[in-house]
Amino acid sequence: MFLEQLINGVTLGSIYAIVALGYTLVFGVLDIINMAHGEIFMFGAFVGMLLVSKAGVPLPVAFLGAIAVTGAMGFLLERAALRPLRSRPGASNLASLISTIGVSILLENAAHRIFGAGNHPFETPFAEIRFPVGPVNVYLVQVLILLISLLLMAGLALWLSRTRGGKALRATAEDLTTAGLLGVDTDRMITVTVVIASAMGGVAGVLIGMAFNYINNQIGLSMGLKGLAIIIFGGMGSVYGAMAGGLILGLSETFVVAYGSSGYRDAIAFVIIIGVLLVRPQGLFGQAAPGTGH
Amino acid sequence: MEWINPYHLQVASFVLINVILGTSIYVTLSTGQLSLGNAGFMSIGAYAAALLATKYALPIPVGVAAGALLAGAAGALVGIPSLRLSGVYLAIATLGFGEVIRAVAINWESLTGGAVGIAAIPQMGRVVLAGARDLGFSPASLGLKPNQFISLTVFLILLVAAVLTVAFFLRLGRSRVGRAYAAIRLDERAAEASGIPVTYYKVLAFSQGAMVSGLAGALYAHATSFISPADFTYHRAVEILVFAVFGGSGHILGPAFGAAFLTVVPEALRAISHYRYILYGVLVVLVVIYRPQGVIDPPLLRRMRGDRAAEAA
Amino acid sequence: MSALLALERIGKSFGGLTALSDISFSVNPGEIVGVIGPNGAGKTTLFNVITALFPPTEGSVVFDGEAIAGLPPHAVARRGIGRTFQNVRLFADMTVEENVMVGRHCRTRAGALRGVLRTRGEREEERGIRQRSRELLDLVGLPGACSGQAAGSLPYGHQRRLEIARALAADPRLLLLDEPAAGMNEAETKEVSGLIRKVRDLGMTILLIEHDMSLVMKACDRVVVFNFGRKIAEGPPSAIREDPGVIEAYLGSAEGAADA
Repeated sequence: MFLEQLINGVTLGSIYAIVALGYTLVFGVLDIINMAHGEIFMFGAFVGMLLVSKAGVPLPVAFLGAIAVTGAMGFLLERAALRPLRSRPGASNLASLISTIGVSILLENAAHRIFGAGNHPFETPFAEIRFPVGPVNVYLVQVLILLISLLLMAGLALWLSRTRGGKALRATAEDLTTAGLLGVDTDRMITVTVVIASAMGGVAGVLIGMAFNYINNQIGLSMGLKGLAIIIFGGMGSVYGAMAGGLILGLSETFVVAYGSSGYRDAIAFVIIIGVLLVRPQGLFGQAAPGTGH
Repeated sequence: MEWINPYHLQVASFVLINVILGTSIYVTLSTGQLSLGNAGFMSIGAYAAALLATKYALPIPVGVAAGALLAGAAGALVGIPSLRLSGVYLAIATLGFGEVIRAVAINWESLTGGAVGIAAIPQMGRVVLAGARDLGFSPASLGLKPNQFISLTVFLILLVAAVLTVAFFLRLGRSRVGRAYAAIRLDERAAEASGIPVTYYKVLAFSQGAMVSGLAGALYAHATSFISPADFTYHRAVEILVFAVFGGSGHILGPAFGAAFLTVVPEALRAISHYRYILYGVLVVLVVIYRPQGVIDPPLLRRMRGDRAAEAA
Repeated sequence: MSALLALERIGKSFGGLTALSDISFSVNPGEIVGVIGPNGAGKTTLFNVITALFPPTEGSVVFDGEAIAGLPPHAVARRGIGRTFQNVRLFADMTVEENVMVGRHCRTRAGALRGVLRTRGEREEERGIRQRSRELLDLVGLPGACSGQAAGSLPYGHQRRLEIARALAADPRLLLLDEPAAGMNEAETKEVSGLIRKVRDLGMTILLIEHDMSLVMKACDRVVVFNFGRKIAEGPPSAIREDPGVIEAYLGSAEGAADA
């Protein structure tokens, strides 16, 4: 039924948007794609799962736990895999792409060793609670996911546009060298960005667990690839592009599954990538053409 | 002939397939383009060869050649975006391409067997053995058991393929086209101004890389006699990349070394093999930071050659 | 005598910034023409327009009687326009000889397959490329001993010469030199000046950007002066030296650039 699918699509899309924001923030500032982001939010999902399903703590605590762990991972990632490359002259942005791929391999397989393969149920106490809204039944979980995502996006938008830290970050994103000359501590800004992006990944991980009721060590990859598709679609480094792109992908996947074939659901993202890159390489909200420069 | 151990030969065969795959990513990298789609091209070669052999009973060499060519053609098609994409965009686009191919392989069940894949693909060692028996030859006359003969045959065929592939690109590297590739990698703008049609060579290199991936895939299909979409995931693409990053992409022997080293060491050290991919990850980060050109680079090769020359003198 | 290169009302702007406007002049076969002007006057932009690194916003570039606007850079090189760059752009990891061999690319033909099979024709072609490269290294005065060295490891002055050799390898009819004597001492500058004339005597036409006035005055047949993206004077060196407009624009505004 259309309305239900619409709600499902928006829920899924808002999670995608949060995932994509993690990529786009880092790209906006550093011009690199953090291929380890997927694995970082996968860890966030596992931390959330352990806290909620095993330790039985309330959901907000699980979010905080996931944020703490993924934020710390972001910090380590920046120190171990990104900063050493920045200080080296002539390191291309392919080098950091590859080093973050290295981190992603490491984390994915570390998760495999720690948590094992296979699905882990992600049980929330209110998984079955739903209530009628007009003609459709809405799950409480869906409402929560939507609310949290919206809060997070609004918070991020406010932070970027209103606060000093946010403005410094935007200046850094605009032009790393100039921001440095203007007295912005760019190394610190970069660390802050990666940590914030990773912490958002922690939230995304828990949301994914809530939405699908299970997690495994492959969600970093499968959801991460979608996040990449979204930022290419929305325009690399564009915050609003990530939000819009996430919603569009969530909706199109939901409707393709509902009215078409479920098998190709995961391919939609990549058809989008290839299509966008051919037709409008700068993405929906992007400005510079990617083929030139850098 | 007890020392001919089918298990060792099997490991060696995988090394050789990985050497070919390492070469495939080297070729595209030699023009400065990073492809994460080589697993996709590999699967095109594998499926084409497998289908031609199982559905149309075509001889293996025909299927392998067709698989490689088809992958090369797909590479040319995908390579056209490299006209306008560079760096990370190309990497992500090719990654997306690989996933689309895999989705097609999973969903086009009537052709590809879906997630289950294709089984009973003629295994090249067995086919050679059957042919030899028809001619009245028995492996026992060489003192070999049939399974020894089969493994040995597969190994030898792959050895020839790997050596030919590496030799092809080694020679290409020293030719006019190879110089153009290197010029494009080192300074695209200067290459253009020197009269090199950059776009043409980028697409050519991309397509050659895809073709070599397809060749590896086709050989893989006929070596294992079973393929499924799980063989050609993103992880495979990343593994191929790791060969090149670890071994070094400045010289063709780099990825070949990377493929050989990273295939053999985990097999040899069982204790490590559990942590194989974790180690891959650590290795990649360390290499990118401390030896960005990879283990093997032209100066190292020159030194080794110099030492040998010095010893000879 | 018809001009080898004719620039007709060239204009180029980036976003709102005008880098070049209404530039017209021509270069005749066998001439050495100097382009001078303060930093930021648009000289290098002009070179980039001529070699099609980016298209002009207005006007046309006519080379040997044909408009070459719209051609990709490699095709322009093939037509016979070679260049060097202000900040030397060599293929640093390749050897000195290979750099020149790359320059020969558009005058040779062997494709991938022939290169791998090393057919007789291909081997002959390679021999030709190698021989020509050696000749050119010789011509620009690079000792044969350094031909196997990595280009990036050469001393700066040698890198500039190597870049000229690479450009010459494509048999250009017009050679664009972007500050060939930058960063050189007096003796080296003299050598470069001699090299430029030697190249001209081989039948090439030269357009060069240079800040070193002694080189411009000695080597050039004609000088074009730029300021703020416009041509403000054109004439033989002796006349340019006396031109009050030039003296004011050039010496008055950018003494630092003039003695750079």
